[in-house]
Amino acid sequence: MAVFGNLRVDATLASYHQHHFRSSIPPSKVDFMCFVNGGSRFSEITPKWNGLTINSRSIGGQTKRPAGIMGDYKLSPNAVREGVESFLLHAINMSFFERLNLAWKIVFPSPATRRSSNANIAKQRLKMILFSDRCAVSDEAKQKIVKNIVHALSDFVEIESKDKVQFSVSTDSDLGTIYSVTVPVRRVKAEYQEENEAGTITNIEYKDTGDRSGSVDVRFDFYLPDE
Amino acid sequence: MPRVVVITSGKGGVGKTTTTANVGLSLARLGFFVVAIDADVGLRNLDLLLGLENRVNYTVIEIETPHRIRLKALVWLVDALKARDERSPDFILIDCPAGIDAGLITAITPAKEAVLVTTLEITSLRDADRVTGLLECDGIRDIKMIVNRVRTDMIKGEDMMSVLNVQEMLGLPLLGVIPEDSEVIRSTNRGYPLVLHKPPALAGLAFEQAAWRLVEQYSMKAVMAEEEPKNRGFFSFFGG
Repeated sequence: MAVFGNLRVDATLASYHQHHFRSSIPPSKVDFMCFVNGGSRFSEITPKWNGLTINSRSIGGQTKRPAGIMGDYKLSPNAVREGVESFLLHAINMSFFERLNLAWKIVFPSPATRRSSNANIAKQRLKMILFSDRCAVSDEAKQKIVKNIVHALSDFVEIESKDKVQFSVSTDSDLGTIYSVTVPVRRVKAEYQEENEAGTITNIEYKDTGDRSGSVDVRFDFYLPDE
Repeated sequence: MPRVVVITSGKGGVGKTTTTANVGLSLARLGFFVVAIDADVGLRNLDLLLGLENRVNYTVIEIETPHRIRLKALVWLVDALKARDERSPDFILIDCPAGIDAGLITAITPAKEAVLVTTLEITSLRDADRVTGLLECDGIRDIKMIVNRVRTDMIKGEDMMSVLNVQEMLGLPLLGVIPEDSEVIRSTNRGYPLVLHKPPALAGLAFEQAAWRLVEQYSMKAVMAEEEPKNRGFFSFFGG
């Protein structure tokens, strides 16, 4: 019989293996709330193990631990801390249904295990390495790039200080390798400033576009700098 | 006109000389006139692979060339082979030294095609990528890849990268996939080349296929190679 959801178990259950790093609660008769995932285990346990005492925390720990080890095999710090020996010790004490759950997780590994497999780790590392190797540029080239860019920009802007120019290579998952040159600018050079459009025609207004009357009436502003 | 092919890898020990010897022999068995040159002047091994170490008469150091600089001797040799009055070779395979220093630059000078040998380890793949960059800089655009020492059991167990992954990352056409085979070591020890074995070894068959693809200038698609099914006992199901 399967029980899902919260289950209050009023019986006392025992564990032979007291987990020393989960101490604090002395074994006694306790009421506890249990979240059951695959609940048939618990409904079967209650009637059979009536005379036993258990640490209430550890029962939550017991159900969670197989999932912790198998589910986040390399990622869960708890699993890593416990190590293989304590897992084996614990495995001896697991009930049949807990073992069944564990076996299921071994035979059908969850996507989290797949992702952290050796092959995938190697693939990720190789990708990063190939990116950085392929786009590493020599120091000489760096100097030349900076110099050329500064030269090109100084036609249009006044550069704050040539020493403060920064050059960096980084990778981006969408674009790939990104070269960025950061140039601090004091101000735009006179002839390229936006407001200063000497000799240009602005504010063009067509009073009559000549569709019907045959003549065009235009009003516009012609800018002359007053130097 | 002979096809001049360099066999290179960057990383040492991945199987350049083994590939040169076996692919060269397979080509010869197909009827082509093949000359295999070991361009590693200091540490030569091609003679050992072919079982010819007792029959080495001259090395390139001893031959008289019009060039005093020995580095140009290889180019001179290849040109001399090309200009032979009698039949000139169909294939000239150049076995390169490991590394990316002057030895490699010398070795790739006379060639127009390259075969890059790599394994499925992150170290050799990184070096293979470096060498690809170098080859392309030196004008060799026709680069094909041979993946060596492939362990399909580890690929299935997600412990080793797969050939498909490697092909995506390096972006080179695949000439052949050679499985890890202990026959390679045995045949090197005996000095009897792998492809001449009867019955043929797995790796030998793969080398022959690679040689045929080299001739046809064809490349293969990476697929998941199936292992030969082992005879499993009843209890191995539980032990794995």
